[in-house]
Amino acid sequence: MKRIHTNLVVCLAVSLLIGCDNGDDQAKNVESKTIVAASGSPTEDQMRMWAGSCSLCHVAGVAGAPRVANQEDWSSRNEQGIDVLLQHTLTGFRNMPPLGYCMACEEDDFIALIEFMGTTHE
Amino acid sequence: MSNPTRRTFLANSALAALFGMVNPALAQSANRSTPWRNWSGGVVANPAGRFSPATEQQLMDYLASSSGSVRPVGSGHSFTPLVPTDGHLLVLDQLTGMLSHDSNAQTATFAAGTRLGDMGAPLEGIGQAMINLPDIDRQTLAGATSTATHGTGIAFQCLSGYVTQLRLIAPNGEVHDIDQRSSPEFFDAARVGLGSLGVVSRITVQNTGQFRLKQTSWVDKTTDLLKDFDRQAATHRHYELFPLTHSDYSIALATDETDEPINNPPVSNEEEDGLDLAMAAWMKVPPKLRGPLVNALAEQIEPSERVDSSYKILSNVRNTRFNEMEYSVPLERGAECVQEVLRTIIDEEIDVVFPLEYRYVSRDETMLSMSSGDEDHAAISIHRIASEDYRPYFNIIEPIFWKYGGRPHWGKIHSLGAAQLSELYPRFEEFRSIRQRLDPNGRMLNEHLRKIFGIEA
Repeated sequence: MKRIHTNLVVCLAVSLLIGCDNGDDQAKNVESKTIVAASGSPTEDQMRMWAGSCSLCHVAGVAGAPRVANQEDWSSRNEQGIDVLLQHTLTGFRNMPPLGYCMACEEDDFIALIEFMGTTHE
Repeated sequence: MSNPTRRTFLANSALAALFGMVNPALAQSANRSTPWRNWSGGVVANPAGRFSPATEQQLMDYLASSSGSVRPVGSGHSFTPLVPTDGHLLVLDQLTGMLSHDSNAQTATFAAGTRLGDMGAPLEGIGQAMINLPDIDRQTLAGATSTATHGTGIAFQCLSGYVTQLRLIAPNGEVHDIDQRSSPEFFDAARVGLGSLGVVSRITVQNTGQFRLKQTSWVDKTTDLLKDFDRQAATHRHYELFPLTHSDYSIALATDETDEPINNPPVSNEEEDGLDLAMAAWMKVPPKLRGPLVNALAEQIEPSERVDSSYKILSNVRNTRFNEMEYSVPLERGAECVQEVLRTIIDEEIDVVFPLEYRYVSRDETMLSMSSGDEDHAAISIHRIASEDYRPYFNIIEPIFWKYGGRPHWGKIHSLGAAQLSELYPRFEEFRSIRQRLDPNGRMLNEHLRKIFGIEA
């Protein structure tokens, strides 16, 4: 059996306690680009909510989050329909916490932001 | 004492889920706001509405011109029901960012809704860094300080200990700018206020100059690491253990300042795959047979190092959601307590793969932090994955913490009420008196806080 690096254990085996993503920096770097790339029509307030919460993970794909406007990431999700995606958002799904860190969002906001992130151009 | 097995744990989880479905208190009524849930999903609320002020003035006006219950919410990382309300949630996500700084004093003032993870880069831009950080950085500054969230290190207080000034908007909308010099008692209460004194809108933090950290991790026998813990804790800037359950081993993390070049590579896919396989095998084995497997895995682990800016080493993003209980016990009883917890997990065959966390925190002058008062504390955490019912596990372990004089973390699961808490915190009555003065009508209270402070509805 190969030797295991403790960094790895701290990130995974023990997994469960410590994450090792450096995705936030990456997210900040590409945020403005992806806003332009995606379509949909969230309001200015909703985009502010998105920037303060959803973007933490959905820009860089942190923890398996589907990246905004990425067809590969969204095609199978979109097939499930907005009701399922909304429910996952409200109650949490896999690594995504309930409400996706958006404490101010109401259901209408989530619907607009899911559609914004899931709209692709390919 | 019952002997929980995987089957009973799963059965309890199913019952809990069913209860959640039929509990009328959890059913969303018409015309109410979207239900609120905390990070782990274990705490649910149906607020009448949400208010997200764009400015402090809007927050003041709202509180001054409205009535009814309100609760401030940060990023929802508390596992205790601090947030739930039938009234309005006050969301501070528009009150973010660095507002000012003082280069000579090495302090900086941030809006209260700023996430800890968003503080490191702007501080770096002005040549400052936070002295210490907790190990999750998604919390807001106000949420983390109001619950006395802490990092690791015998020389370091909880985050609230580094607050030098704060602005509290009282339940009636009045503004209070509070610091140690002008109002020491009020300041010691408001730094860890559980959101019960009003709404904190801005916080000034004592920082230091930028620094780089080198973190070294290794695995050794838990008994040996605990025997040597005090020496290591005194030697390193930060030192903590992650005792592996059903095992003789712990992972040790030592962190020190360094001038070495940054070296913090991400974990490779190959490494992840190897460990995923090991973990999958580990979790399939019944708890009472798991020891040799976990020990064998632990013995394969090589020491490692990483170097980066302080805030990138001290805090992390946690991807796996869980529920947590954490108690702090007097320093000299810490090793004995954590060993009893580990032994109980084995004896009771508790099916848990999460490691424990064991660290030291310095004493501070706040009224309600886990380390308030005149002695340092050892903080011990237990965790359970969010999709599983934590109660059978936590209910067995919590009395062990009580036996050692443990104080609960305010944001983490505990079952204590005012009678027990007043015995644990010498300044508890002083805090209750200040709370009563600021919020005589209980506008900031919810069911959980009424239990904590011993106030009838």
